[in-house]
This record gives sequence, C-alpha cells and structure tokens, in this order.
Amino acid sequence: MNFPSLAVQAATPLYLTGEDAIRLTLFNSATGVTAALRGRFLPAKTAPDEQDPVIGIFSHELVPTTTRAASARTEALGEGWLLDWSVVVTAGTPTVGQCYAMVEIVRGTKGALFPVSWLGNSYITANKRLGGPDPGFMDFLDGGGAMRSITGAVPGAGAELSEAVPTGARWELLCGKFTFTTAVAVANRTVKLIIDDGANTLQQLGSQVVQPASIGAVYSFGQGLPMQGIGADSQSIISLPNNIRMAAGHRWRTLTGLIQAADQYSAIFYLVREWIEGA
Amino acid sequence: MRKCLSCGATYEPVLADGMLYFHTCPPFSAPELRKALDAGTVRLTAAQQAALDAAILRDQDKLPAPGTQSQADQVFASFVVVRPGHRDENVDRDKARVARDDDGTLKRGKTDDDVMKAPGAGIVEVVRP
Repeated sequence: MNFPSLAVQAATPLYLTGEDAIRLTLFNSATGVTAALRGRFLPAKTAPDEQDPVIGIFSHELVPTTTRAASARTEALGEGWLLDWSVVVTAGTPTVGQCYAMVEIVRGTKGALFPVSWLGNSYITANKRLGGPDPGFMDFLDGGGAMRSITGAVPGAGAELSEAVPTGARWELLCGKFTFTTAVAVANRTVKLIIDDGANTLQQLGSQVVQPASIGAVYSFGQGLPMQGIGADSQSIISLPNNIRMAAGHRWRTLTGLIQAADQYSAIFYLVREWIEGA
Repeated sequence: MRKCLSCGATYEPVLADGMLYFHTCPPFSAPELRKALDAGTVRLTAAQQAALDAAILRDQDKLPAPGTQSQADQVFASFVVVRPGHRDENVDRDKARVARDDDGTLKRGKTDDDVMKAPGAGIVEVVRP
C-alpha cells in the first residue's frame, strides 16, 4: 500500500533527518540471547519526480554480551518517519531481570554519538517486548528481578568462603546453605556470616554456638529465619535481615573463629534475586 | 571445573542456569594470614597492628575464659587482607571500554583476561570430584 508521505499522520511524529539513527542498547546476563530492533519506517519523498515512498520494515539483530555491560547497535534509517518500533527477543529465554533494552535516537552512527531522543527502556523476555510509540518505561531496578540459584566456589582448605556480587548486578540475598567440616585439630570454631561492601563489614551475623573438631555441620541462612545453634542433627540456622540489597562488589562471606588450616567449607548454594544495575 | 591458582578455590565458570560465574578470591582467613605474615608476603597496616596490640593488652588484663576465643584472636580474624596476586574475574568497566567494540564483542587479540579486574595467578581446569 502506498501513502503519499505528506498526507501521513503517524501515531508519533518521529521525523528523522538522514543524520539521525536509531540505537538499541542491551544490558544482559543470560546466555544465548539475541534481540532484534524492528519497526516500520516511511522514507521521505526527497524529489518531486520521485516515486511515492512505501512503508518499509527494518530489523536489526544484536547478540549482547553476558557480562551485564552495554552492547549496542546503531542504524541509520535515512530521512523519513519512524512509525513504530519494538525490541523482540529472537533467541534465548531471558527472564525479567536478565536482559534490559534501551532505545533512543542519536545523531551519527560511529564514534562519539550525540543522544537526541529517548524512546523507551525496559526488561525484555521472549514474551515481553519493548515497543513504541507508547512504550512502558521500566527502570533497571524495577520489577521482581531474576531468581538465581547459584553454586558458590568451594574455597581451599583453611580458607573462608566468599561470594561477591558480579559487576553490573544488584542482588537481594534470600537464602542459602553451606557445609563446614572441621578437622581433627582441637578448637571450638564459631561461624559468622559477614555482609561487606568489598572492604568494610556492614553486618556480622552468626550462631552463638561453637562447632568442635571433626564435625560436619550444615549452616542454613535465610531472611527472617529464627537463629538456631547446631543441634543433634548438626544443623544450624543463621538469620538474615529482610530485603537485604547488595551492590556490585559487595560480598557475603564467612568469618570463622579459630578456623584451622584443614577445616573445609563445601556444598555452597544460595538463592538471590538479581537486577541489572545499568551503571 | 576450574581451580584458582591464587586461592585454591574450585568452581564452575558456567552455572547450571547458563549464567557466568565470576570468581573472586576471598580475603585471607586467620591461619592463612598468619602464614603470610610469617612468610613476609604481607604486612598489617599500622591501624591493624595497633588494634591487635590493644587486644593483646586487654587479654593480659583479663585472661579469656577456657575454651573461648581471646580478644586478640577475634581482632586478628576480623582483619580483611587481600591475598597478593588475588584473582577477581569480574569485568573492569574501564578495561572493557578499551577492549570491546560498541556491540560488546572483544576486539581482535583481546581475551577475557584483558577485561577482568585481576587475573591473579590464573586458573587450571580440573576434573569435577
């Protein structure tokens, strides 16, 4: 279908000069994701003897990195009107909290770009698109976040366990568990859980009871759980504060009183809610 | 599975949900710190040494109860000392800006080590126990 370009009343009067370009930026943590910026564009009629332009469809794919850093694709559409657009996940299954899309109009396509207009931003999933002319705006830290069950690194013998929030992520630490096995060396160990900002301790939580030599005890921790010392079943519970948010570089780790060189932490599993910080 | 040659930790670089795991070495535990101090590979800061000296004096004033941790032990264990040559696989934003193209892919000749905060002593692949 042909439209005389001068008569078209687009839903949004997004006129682009030939120097403007549309830019998709993705911040992503999920593997195997490909997203496409698609839309409809009506080129301008630039000369009277030119044929009337027709509405065309554009589709530009971007495979983002999985490091939560920005990956971007900028495409010039020419002179004309951007009628509508959407960002679609074409491969992978990111959940809310894993792939964040931003769309804007910029001047130029290479080097230092000049941002001109903001079109929309939101997390996207296979079933949740970001699209205009009336996009919903969802901030980086909005929504329920991605639920992640993480297997932690098993430290060397005699070392504390330590898990850090990755660059570009924001966590809410929900719960977890680990095993601490004491060696034969006689000493009464105490296990505390530390929340720090990478340097300074922000919270020190822990059981008041001791763990003697040659015991393998399971420590569980979770928001709002009651504190409980090691029982006959070698289980202990450490209470976490509710809604504890941790920024990139923050850590949860153990601080073990009288830890011995052959003591061993193992079987470290924890559940977090994760957002992309977008910094 | 990988083993960190800086701290001895073992971990999977890709988790069960397909997401990347970025290992960061823990700070020294108390026995590790004691060993490193003996070997002269690290030194306590003046503030840490002062806090430790004060705790030792408090212990001398009031001996710790049998089976309990001395104040000096508690203070010593609370020190956060980064191990020399520690590994931090997290992405360094400044390095990444230089090493990656606009679309996020690594430039030719660049590797993940070029964008991580600290490669440390490196890693070796090990068989899962």
